[in-house]
Amino acid sequence: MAKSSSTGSAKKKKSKGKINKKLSSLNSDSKKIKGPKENPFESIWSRRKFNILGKKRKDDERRRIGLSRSLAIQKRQKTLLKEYEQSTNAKRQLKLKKKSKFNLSDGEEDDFEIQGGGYFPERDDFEDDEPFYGDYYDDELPDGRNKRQFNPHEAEGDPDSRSAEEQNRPKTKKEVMEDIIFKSKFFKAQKAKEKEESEQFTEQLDKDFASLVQSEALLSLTQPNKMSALNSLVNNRNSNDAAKKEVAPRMHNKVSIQHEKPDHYDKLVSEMALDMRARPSDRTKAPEELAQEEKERLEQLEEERRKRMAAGDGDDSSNEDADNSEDDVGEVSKQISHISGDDLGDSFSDVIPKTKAVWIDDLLTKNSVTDPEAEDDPTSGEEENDNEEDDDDDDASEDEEGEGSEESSDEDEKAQPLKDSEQSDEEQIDLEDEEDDDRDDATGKKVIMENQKKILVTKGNQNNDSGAFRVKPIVKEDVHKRGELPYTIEAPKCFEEFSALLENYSDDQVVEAIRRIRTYNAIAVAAENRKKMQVFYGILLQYFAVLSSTKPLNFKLINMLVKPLMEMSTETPYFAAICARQRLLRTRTLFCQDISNTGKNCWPSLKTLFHMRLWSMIFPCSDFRHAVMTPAILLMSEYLMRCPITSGRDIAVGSFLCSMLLSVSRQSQKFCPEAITVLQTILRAALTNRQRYEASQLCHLMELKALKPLLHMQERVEDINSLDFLTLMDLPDDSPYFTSDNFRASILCAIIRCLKGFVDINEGFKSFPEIFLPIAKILDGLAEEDLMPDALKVEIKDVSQVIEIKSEEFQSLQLPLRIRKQKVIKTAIPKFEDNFVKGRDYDPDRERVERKKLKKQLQQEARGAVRELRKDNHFLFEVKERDKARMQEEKTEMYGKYRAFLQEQEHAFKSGQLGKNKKRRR
Amino acid sequence: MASVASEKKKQKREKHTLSELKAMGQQLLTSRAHVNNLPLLLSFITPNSPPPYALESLLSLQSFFTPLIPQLPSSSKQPDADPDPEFIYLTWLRSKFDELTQCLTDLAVSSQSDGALREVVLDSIMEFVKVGNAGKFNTSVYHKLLRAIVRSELGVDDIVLDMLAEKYFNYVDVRYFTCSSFEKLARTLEKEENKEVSQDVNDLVLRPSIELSIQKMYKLLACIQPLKDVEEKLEMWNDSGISSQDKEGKYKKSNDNVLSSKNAAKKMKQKFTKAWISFLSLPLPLDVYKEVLVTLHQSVISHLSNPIMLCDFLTRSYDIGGVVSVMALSSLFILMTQHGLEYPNFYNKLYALLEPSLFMAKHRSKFFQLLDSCLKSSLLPAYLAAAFCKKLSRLALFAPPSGALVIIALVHNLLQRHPSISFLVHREIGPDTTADTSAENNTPDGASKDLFEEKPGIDHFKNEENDPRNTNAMRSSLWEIDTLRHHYSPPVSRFALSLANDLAVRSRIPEIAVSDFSSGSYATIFGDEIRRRVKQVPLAFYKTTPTCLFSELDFPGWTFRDDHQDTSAKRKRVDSV
Repeated sequence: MAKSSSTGSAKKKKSKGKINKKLSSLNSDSKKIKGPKENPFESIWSRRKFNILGKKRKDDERRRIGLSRSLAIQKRQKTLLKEYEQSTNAKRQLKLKKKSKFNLSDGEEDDFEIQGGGYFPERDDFEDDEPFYGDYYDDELPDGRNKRQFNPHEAEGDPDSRSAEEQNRPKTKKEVMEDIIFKSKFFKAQKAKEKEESEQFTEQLDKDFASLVQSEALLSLTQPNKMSALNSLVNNRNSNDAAKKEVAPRMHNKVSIQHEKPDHYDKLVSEMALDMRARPSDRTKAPEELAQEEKERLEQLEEERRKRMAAGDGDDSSNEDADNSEDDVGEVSKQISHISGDDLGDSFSDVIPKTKAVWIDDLLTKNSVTDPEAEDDPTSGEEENDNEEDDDDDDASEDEEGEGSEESSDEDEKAQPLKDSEQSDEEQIDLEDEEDDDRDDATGKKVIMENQKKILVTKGNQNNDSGAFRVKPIVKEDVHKRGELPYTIEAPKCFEEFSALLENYSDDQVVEAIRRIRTYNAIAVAAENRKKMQVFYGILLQYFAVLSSTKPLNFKLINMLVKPLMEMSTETPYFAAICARQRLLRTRTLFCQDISNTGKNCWPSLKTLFHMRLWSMIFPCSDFRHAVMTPAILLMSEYLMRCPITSGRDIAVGSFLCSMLLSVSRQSQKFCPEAITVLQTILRAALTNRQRYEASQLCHLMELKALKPLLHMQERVEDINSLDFLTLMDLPDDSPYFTSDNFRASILCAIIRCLKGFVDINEGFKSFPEIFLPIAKILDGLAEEDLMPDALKVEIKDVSQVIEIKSEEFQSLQLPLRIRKQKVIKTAIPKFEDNFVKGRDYDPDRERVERKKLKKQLQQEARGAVRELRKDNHFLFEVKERDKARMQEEKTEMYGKYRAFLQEQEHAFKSGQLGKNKKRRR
Repeated sequence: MASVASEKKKQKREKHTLSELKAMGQQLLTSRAHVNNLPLLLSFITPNSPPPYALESLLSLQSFFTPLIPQLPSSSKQPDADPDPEFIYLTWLRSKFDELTQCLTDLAVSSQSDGALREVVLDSIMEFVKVGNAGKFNTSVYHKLLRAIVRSELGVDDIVLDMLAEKYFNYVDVRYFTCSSFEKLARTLEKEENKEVSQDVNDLVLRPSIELSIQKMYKLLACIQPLKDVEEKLEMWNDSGISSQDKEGKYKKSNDNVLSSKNAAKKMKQKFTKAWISFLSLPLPLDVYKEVLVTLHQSVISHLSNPIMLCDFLTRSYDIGGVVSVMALSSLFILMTQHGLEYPNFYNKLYALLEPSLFMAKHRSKFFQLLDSCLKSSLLPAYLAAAFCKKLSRLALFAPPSGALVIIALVHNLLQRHPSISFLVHREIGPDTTADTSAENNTPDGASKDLFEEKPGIDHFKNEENDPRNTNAMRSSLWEIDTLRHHYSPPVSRFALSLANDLAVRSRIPEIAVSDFSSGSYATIFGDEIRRRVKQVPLAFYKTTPTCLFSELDFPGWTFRDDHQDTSAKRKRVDSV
């Protein structure tokens, strides 16, 4: 009985609770919906009324306090409230567990109610649970109300606040359904909005497109060649005009455009489609592809050449005129090539960096030129050769390709046995080095000699050739005295191979051969070419060494080798550096051996000097530390410091090394004590004995290298001509030229100029007077000499004056070193700031400032945290208060109900209707 | 008569074959009757005779004399009144024996004879030396041998010297007597030299021979290992299994008491010292001089009984200047630090040694280390430290990179040790600081001080001044260190920079070990750079790749015409015309 009654009451309470829920949710909902929507305080901007002096004005000073407050409240509702609810839930569940420990489970209902934060009859008995109860209502009630009040929400388009609240609690089925409905509506609204945006966007795009069409970039994209370029240009112009016309009205009435636009656009698109479709291949080529094409071109050329070789020379003369005319076309197209090239059209400036890509580009354009040229008649080539050789090396060699003997190429190809390709780089270097010294002279001379005697040799070769082609080559040889290069040349694997390859060719052809080897084996084409090219680089370097140590120096060829060497170094910088370092090491060990043999001249050879120069061109000299240049500079300095100066030639080499060091250290303005010392020593060699004695009194530092008066002028010399380095290096040690006054004057001139350079780059040094004043004294001594040529005197005086002026300037300005850090002495005198700004910290102690700043920040943060906590408390308090109020309300309501019920009963009892009523109740 | 005998000898020599010689030797050994074979055999022991003959006769004679030697009377003894025939015979034998040793010494010293033979000869001489003096060490023979070696014209690297040093110098007594005879030799050599100088006109001819003998003496002396104080077992050459009592007796006949090995070591030390001192008083040629200076501090000084005795020699060398001074410094330093030598004007001389040639000298490593330790004392006056600092850094402006590195290390240490010279790197210009400097300043010239205040930019340091007192280093500043920061060599510029950074901080920084840098040279720096792993290789950037190696803009005063090119161009022009 009791149980049944309890369950009954429970049911009743549930139904009543639901009603209550609905009621309260109605209340709260209306509150919440109205709250954010029309809070008039949120729209109020606070603003600063007066400018306060010395106070920084921030732009975000203006803010809406009301809004931020409500935002903070919202945030709390999202975070704090949620936590609070969860904690209450957890407590409730804890209690529930305790309670239900001994209860039989009611099955699904139980679970459901736990999940849904259901209503439990037991809870009524506990006063503590009242807040939870209220909470429960608070949560549940709005849902009930939602059913009715949802639509208006949606209409107002404020789904965010709602959904945010809904996330906070589990949903009922109805809720879910409502959610779905709401969402679909929301998405509809969103879609509409997006549509509008996309419309705007397309409009914008149209505008952009119109401007794009007007610009020439698009034209260049769509037009790969001249003819079609004109076509599309016209097309585009038309369409552009149309577009332009369209743009103006579009601005005025958008609606009309939306109707018109698609048509126009479609038209445009169809036009564009016609334009574009034909050329998918006109993208910018990658460097690898360019290299590949270049290689293929060479292969093709080679193939053609062979075909021609097989077919004989019947059609040669007929092509002559055509070729020449085509040549002209080629020239024209070469000039155009920059414009119609692969650039994206955004760089219309004429300044095109001379990179490798461009170089290849040039070759590509030449491709069309050289193709027919390959079939060129030999006799026509000669004139061209003479005309063009002066203009451009490439052109000249390009011409020479077409001529010459063909049998040599065959031989060359046979002479390329595929040796061990696994040869490692190190081995290669070692080999080179060994070979270098052994054969630098021997092979080099051989190569050169044979280069010079190539006519004889090629004639000899012809005898071995097959009879069919004998006549023609001989004729050619007699006319041109040149050999023809094969187009495709495998990278040689050793120096012999290379020298055999170049045996019969002229300088230009050698360079062309190197170029072809590089193109044919370009690293960009295939990865395994890297190794080949590295080997070839080593060979080329060796060739350079051989050339520079041969006696009749072929300086032109050496100069021509510089470019390929430099370009190849950029391809394999690491390998180039290793080669250079190995050579440096080798040179130094040789130098050390030389210097230990007394009596041997250990000044660097021409080869070494050339190498040094080459490296200083390939690698940057101004680096603080460079893998190649640092040892190289060190070695040059060592030469200067350790080699004894005994002859005029030594002076020449020494002063040349000095100027090399000058050029190397010019950019970074480094200090080279060795060079300056040597210059000083050499200058002292120009003084008379008496002066020398005085000078040595003045600076006895130089005792180390006291010289004979090698440079002292004996007679008057009128003209000073600059020294020719190469002939000078060629002369033997005891050549009379080195003791001539002409040489003396010239070398003095060179030295003075070099010294001037050092004075210029070292002027910033703190010890400038100490370094250069002794030299200035020597210079003064020199200037006093009678036999000194006047021009030289002027220069000497000039330099010494520069030194003196600079020293004086220096000495008047220079201050003693103040390396130590300053210690701040405490002072009682207050410090006044001229334009004091309030709020800025003028504390000189940085650490203290930092500390202060941190403290302030900490304080601020702490205050902020306290404030936040306080606000949180307020918020929670409010929530609890609200709950309590609601509970109270409910209680009073219930109380009223029961009281009414009781009063009713009492009334019935008093009026005698008890039984009837009781019956009904039961 | 004598000539007849010699002729006979000659004939005999020609007649006798090797087997006959052998037979004669056998006969000599069997009985006294054949004693006349002795002079015959003796005649074969000359540098001129063929080696097998000499060898054969030597063997026979040696075996003949060895048992007889103890019985032989001393050569100085006069024949008595009563001529006992036995005694006469022995005296005759004695004279023959002396003759033999003389011949042997000649043979050993002659450079013509065979190497192997000379080795045997040396061995037999040493055998005689062993027992030659009535079973005791025969000093006179040994002395004669050494004298002959030294005075002969043998080269310094002759095998006899090597053999002697190798085989016999590990015997204590041999070493001992070598020392004593060298002492005598050195004395006589000097006298002879004086005589020669006074008498001979052609001094130049004789001079080299003395140099040669000095060189040889040095070589032998250098080979003598001085005794260690606590050497347990002394290896004796003349030790024929007798007890230690007798062993000691060999040193001095009179002293029969038991002498400990310690005593022997002491004696040895004395002799060693005397030998060295007398040797050093000789006029040494320059190369020997240098070598002596090197070996002195390494192996000699510590074994001398009284090292201070060297101070004459060393101060003399130190005063010579240049490389010799640098080398003498190390020995002198040992004397000063370990043996309490006081050397006036040491620092002035040390200062005078600082020259640019220092950086190319062979022994610079040791010198720099010594320089560092000489300047270690915190009692050095400020002017001295400042002068050294300044002088060194001036040198750095002209030194190779390795030298610059050492100098930076030295200057760093100086500045760290002597806070009183911190004004070299930090000086405030103002009234307060000048008072400080004047207080520190010992030099009495006030005029230049005013100058300094007027023009602080001028370096008042007098580089040429040899007396550190007058260099005015106190009125200078170390601008050179700042200049070195721009040095082309990365280690130098980096080191200079780190020095400046170290100095900027007031706290004391540990000293730099100079030995890390002192042995540097171009080779080491170059090697370091080459050994450095190549991580990345930047390349020079050109807008247009240059096509020729030299441009005349970069090299003013030079042209780079190519004759070859010129001629070819000309030819071409002619062709085209």
